[in-house]
Amino acid sequence: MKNDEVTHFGYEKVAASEKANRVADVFHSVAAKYDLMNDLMSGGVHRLWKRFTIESSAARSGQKILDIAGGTGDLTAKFSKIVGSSGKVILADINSSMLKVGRDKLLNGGIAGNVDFVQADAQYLPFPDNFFDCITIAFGLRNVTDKDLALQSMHRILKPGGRLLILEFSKPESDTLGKIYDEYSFRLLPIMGKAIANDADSYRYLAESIRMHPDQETLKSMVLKAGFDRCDYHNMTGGIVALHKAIKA
Amino acid sequence: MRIDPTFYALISEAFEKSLNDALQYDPGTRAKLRELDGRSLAIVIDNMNLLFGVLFQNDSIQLSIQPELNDEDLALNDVVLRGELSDLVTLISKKHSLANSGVEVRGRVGLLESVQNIAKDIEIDWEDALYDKLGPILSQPLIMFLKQSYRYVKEVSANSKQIVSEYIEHESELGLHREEFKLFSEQVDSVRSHTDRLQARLRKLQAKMEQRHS
Repeated sequence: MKNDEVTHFGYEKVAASEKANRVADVFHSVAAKYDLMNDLMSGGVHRLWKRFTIESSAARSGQKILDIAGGTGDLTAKFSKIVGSSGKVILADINSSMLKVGRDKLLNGGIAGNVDFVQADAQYLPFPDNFFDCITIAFGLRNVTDKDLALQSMHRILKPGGRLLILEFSKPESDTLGKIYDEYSFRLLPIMGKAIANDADSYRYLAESIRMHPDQETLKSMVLKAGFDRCDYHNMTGGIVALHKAIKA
Repeated sequence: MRIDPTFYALISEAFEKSLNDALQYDPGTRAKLRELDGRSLAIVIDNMNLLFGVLFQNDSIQLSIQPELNDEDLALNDVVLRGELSDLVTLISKKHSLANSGVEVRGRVGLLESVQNIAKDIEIDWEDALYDKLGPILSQPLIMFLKQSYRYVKEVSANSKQIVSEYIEHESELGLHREEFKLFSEQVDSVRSHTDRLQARLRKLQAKMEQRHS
């Protein structure tokens, strides 16, 4: 995507070159209260979505794992225990504030030694070809300006046989659930954002960005187009969230 | 019916936490688990399309449930137990032998044996666990109550078998004594073999008669 092309920032149309800065501002603003807001917004269910992602990764001792848009390090913390001292987990995030919160949280929790922190753009991942056994990106892909480019970048650095896991908000399976979810995310989320993080706009962006994100089948076709051999997905909590699992041939 | 994976994650989380919390009060088992560090086993239920994963990490256990089966996931495990739910339940609860159990085993069978031995010797210090969770004031009377209840249940269950059999034999005259039953069984067997022989002779005679008429 060229810099003068137009893309979405929530429902707003912005220049591609502008989106990254706008998204960065959102995450600088919410970083400090990110975990608390996630627990409140999802009623703690985001922990189960992440758990299922880790279980689907089939990570094993000694593996190299990249946690893109790793934020406050929920996945990295679990992966660090699984891969052990012979393995390596890299927590990457484009946003320095989120990375700092994640690094502090992990270090304070005694998780160190096999974890590295890298500030990186998912579209241009600074790692060698065929390097990682597993790559995860949880609630991060919808914020990326050029998703196709990011998926190609992930494909390049994944080892043959390695797996990519994309955990992201998606399209509810039933219309009724969709309507309830719309009411919740467009009315209640900004109020909660204002009350807890003193930032209604960022949570309005969250709701809008979810609606603009590709649905399950579209994302699957994008993953396959990026070069992955196979891609399947599981809808979770009625499709509010979907986990796409892709294998590199 | 398709079950939401969020539910599977909740189940595995709850089991894993309970199991590892309990193991905190069994240092012996934890020491044995350390020897299995990095090893994994999978239980595949074919008729439910479910994969239960067990990964041994240092002195704890990580559980997982996957609602899909694929060769890549299975190949990652050191040992795989695979079969229908009923066969797996029978194997785990009753049978000790895999032969004719309907369950297929692939990989390191030795790991399965090690896990079985560890499970057999689990000895969780429940008193210590209750003490930690409830504190001294609540835990002491509860431990006393549980110990007395356990003793009572054990005594009752040991005596009940004898009481019930004596009641059936002597009081209600519904049942037979072991020796009487043995004699009765022998007589039934003898009658059965006589009738079998008689039936065979009748068949033979019938065949002869049919031959003459033709």
